[in-house]
Amino acid sequence: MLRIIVLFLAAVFTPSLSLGQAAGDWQSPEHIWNASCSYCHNSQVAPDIRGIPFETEFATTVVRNGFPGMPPFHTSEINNEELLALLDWIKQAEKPDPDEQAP
Amino acid sequence: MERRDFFTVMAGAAASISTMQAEAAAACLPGNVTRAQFRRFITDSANLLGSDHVVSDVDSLRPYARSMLPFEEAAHSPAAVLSVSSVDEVRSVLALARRSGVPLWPTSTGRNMGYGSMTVADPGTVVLDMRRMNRISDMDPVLGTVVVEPGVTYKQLQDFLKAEGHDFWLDFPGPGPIVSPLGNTLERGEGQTPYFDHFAHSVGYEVMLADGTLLRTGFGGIENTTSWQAFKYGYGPTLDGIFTQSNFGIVTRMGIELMPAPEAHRTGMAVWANEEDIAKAIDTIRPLRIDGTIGNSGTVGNSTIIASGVGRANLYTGEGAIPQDVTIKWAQDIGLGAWIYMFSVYGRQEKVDSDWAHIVSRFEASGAKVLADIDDPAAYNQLTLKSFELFKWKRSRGLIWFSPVAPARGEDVARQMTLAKEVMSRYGMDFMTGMTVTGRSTLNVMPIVYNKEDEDETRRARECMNALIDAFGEAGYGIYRTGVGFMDRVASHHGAVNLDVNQRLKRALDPDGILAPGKSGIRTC
Repeated sequence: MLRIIVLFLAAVFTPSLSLGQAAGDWQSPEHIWNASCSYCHNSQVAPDIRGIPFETEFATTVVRNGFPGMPPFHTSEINNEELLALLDWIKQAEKPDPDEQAP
Repeated sequence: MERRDFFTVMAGAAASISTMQAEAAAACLPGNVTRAQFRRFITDSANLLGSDHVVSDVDSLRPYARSMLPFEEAAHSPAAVLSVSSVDEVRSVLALARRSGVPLWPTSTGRNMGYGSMTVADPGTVVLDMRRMNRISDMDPVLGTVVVEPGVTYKQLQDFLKAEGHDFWLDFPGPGPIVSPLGNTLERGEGQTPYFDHFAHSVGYEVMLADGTLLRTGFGGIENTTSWQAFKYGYGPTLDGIFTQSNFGIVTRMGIELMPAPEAHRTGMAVWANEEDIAKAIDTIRPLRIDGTIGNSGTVGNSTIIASGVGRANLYTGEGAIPQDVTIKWAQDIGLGAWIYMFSVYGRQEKVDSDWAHIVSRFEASGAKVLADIDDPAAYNQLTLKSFELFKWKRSRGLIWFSPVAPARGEDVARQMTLAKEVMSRYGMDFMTGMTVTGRSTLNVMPIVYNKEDEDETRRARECMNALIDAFGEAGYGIYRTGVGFMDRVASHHGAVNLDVNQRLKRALDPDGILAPGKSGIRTC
């Protein structure tokens, strides 16, 4: 019962939370992918890179410095720890279904 | 781009990046600031914000110096980046800046791509990165307003509205998911719905002045205000506008009017076959925009910008600018033409049906054909980065937006097109344009796409932009927005009195010149 009351109070009095897109706010690597990367890399703007065993150091350089058609992503947006987790997640993700489309 | 091609290009880009890193010089300091003063400023900032939120070593600064504009990075590189998370931290940083004389360049998410991204007008200015200030507050579902901080993105705001069950739409600029509504509004950006004019749909700003004073515009100054986001103008002078495209204060919060989701909407594309049809097209669109029949500003595009996703090399391998005939033929072959206009209608179903029929009859009478039910995600609240397909044109990282305004008269727009094409051709730049038809004006947003790895092409792109600014200024046309490196030149065409008044305001509100020196050509002296 106490737990229900606590949850109710939390729902009533906690300000509306939205998932931020700054360093430290990301919920998971998948959250970064869905909120940012997928708009190009899963929508035919840029190649889908999921499931590709790229070099982490190389990919880090590209993410931090940008690439033709891709802006740089700074440490205030995705910190180094989050970026490493993201790159691991991308490499380990299943290769995309050719018919799959992004939002 | 195929996956294999992508990685080949990536390898080349990485090599280029390594070369640039090796060649990069140490970051320069702001003018009139000694090394000792700057070192103390950095130490004090780190003590205030935490060392994780202060970037001052050359290697870590390089990503912040990256932009798509045609300048050497050192020319617009910051000397440091401070990442703040609250208004109190902004005030404390301002106190440090005033004491040391170190100027600050506030940014929201730094996605002002083609206008300078996060780079600064005067080298050595310190970037005040407000991405971590990303709170959403004061949602009013009855009036349809919400308040955001600089670091909130459109994606974050859309997620918030969905999670809370609010049936409102947002209006996105090109880099929608990853860009800040507050930042884009302060640059007076535009989108693709009836709320396309972002400044017009902002209401109530919280602004920190250089001396740490916190101003709330409109009715925000009233104790226990009930109407801050309900009424834009307030009492006395309406000040919101002086904090856009300016350096008079740091906007830390901003209200946004939200568009109620319409019952129905429909998007179409009008196509005019020939290059000389542009005047006829504008004269047909204008009355439909002014009387509100067409609900959004829409986009008029020429055949070359339509072809950008195809890739230039697949259409033309000759010298100089691509001839318009080449892309017009390509467009005609796929059922399009020299000019297209993407437009949308919104409202109750019967209104949409009625407006649609009227629009089609007007366009067809002008000689256009109308393609129905075109998918334009940004016109109906769908986030997309399809605008990045522009970069497929040259697979390049170079982009300058040249953004003149014309009265929405066919003869004026045609004159601008002729002028732009002539200047661009002189410098070997391809003529592309995507116009927003606001009603009585058109914002002729022309991308200069170039290969930044090519030194000669970069020089020509820079000279082309300067020549365009001068040619349009001399012809009596203003530029609605520009990037660092071009701001002084654009300002010089808007009159000495305008510049003087801006400078007087600057001296009054920021006498030490701490905030964004050079923004829109405005400095204390």
